[in-house]
Amino acid sequence: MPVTRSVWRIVEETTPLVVGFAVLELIAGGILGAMIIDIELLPGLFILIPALLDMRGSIGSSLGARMNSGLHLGYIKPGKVTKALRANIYSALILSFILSVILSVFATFACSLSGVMCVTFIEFFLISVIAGVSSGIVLIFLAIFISNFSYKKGLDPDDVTSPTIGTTGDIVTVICLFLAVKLVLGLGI
Amino acid sequence: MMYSMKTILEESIPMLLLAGALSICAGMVLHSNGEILFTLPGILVIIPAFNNMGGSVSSVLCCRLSSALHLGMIRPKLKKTKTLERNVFATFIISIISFLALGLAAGGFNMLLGLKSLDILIFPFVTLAAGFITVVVLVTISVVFSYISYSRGLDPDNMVVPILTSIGDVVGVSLLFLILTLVM
Repeated sequence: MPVTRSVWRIVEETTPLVVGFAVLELIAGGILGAMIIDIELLPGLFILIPALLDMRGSIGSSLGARMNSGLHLGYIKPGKVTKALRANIYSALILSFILSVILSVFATFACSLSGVMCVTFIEFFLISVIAGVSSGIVLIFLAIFISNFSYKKGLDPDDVTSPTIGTTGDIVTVICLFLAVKLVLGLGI
Repeated sequence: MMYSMKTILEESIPMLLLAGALSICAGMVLHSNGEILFTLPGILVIIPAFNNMGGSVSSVLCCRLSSALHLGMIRPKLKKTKTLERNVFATFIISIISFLALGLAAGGFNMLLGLKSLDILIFPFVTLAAGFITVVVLVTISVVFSYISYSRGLDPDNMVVPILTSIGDVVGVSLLFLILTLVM
């Protein structure tokens, strides 16, 4: 059983993935680094960045984790659209939207509370919702694909899904964030 | 524990709100260290990877614990078991190797891109120090939360993962800048 494996099996199976994904994730960091001029144009954008990245990761990873438990227990069958799967997809979509809106409220609130000069609520809102929902849609399908794929290949999905979704999630989110920032700057609100 | 939209949303939303508020705090830490980030953009390059690594290393542990709880291999009581010990030990080893590797890779990546950053020989030790302490904090929380949420009949998958990532962000980013200011 996967959970009772020896320490070295776990280290051996997990480390290359964690390191590999971290290196891949430098791509996300590189895009952020390239955005530094845009970030200077939108003061306070830093406040939103970890939250946006995390939210995507959390919704995706929770979905992945539920898929895994579901696959282990047989509620979810690989490659079939069951009721449990549909409930998971809809919830992840709804969560993406609600949380994108709330994060922009939080960010605005944090700015006014700390007295930091920031962009307006409208800008936070647009950036958060555009980046959040578009990356959410991509990630939901990715999460389902990855957990099914690893289950079918006989890999322990627990070791594979979280890091995979976390990493691809960040790259997708940073790209969506980049587009959202360009759009908002272009609109000149 | 069958999945319905109602239970997933009900269990997820409060945790995600808390997670969001915590991540905004991490964002404030980034914002208040903006000067370091604008002068050394190479530091910004590791932020997503660094945050994610702490989160993913401990989420893997949490996923494994939660599957073990579901399958009845670990009893939902806070007792040292061999399975638990092995998993925690493995997590520490994984994080030491990974954070060193991240610092090295980031140093190389920055040199390649010509981004101003820390010395490639110092960078790995900064990421290791900040990263390892973060993982110790996260592992403790991960174990305790998994057991508490499971023994209360809540699905740990919904509860623990989002909070872990966000706590990891706040702790990780704060430690990273603390160690950076000590080194620079």
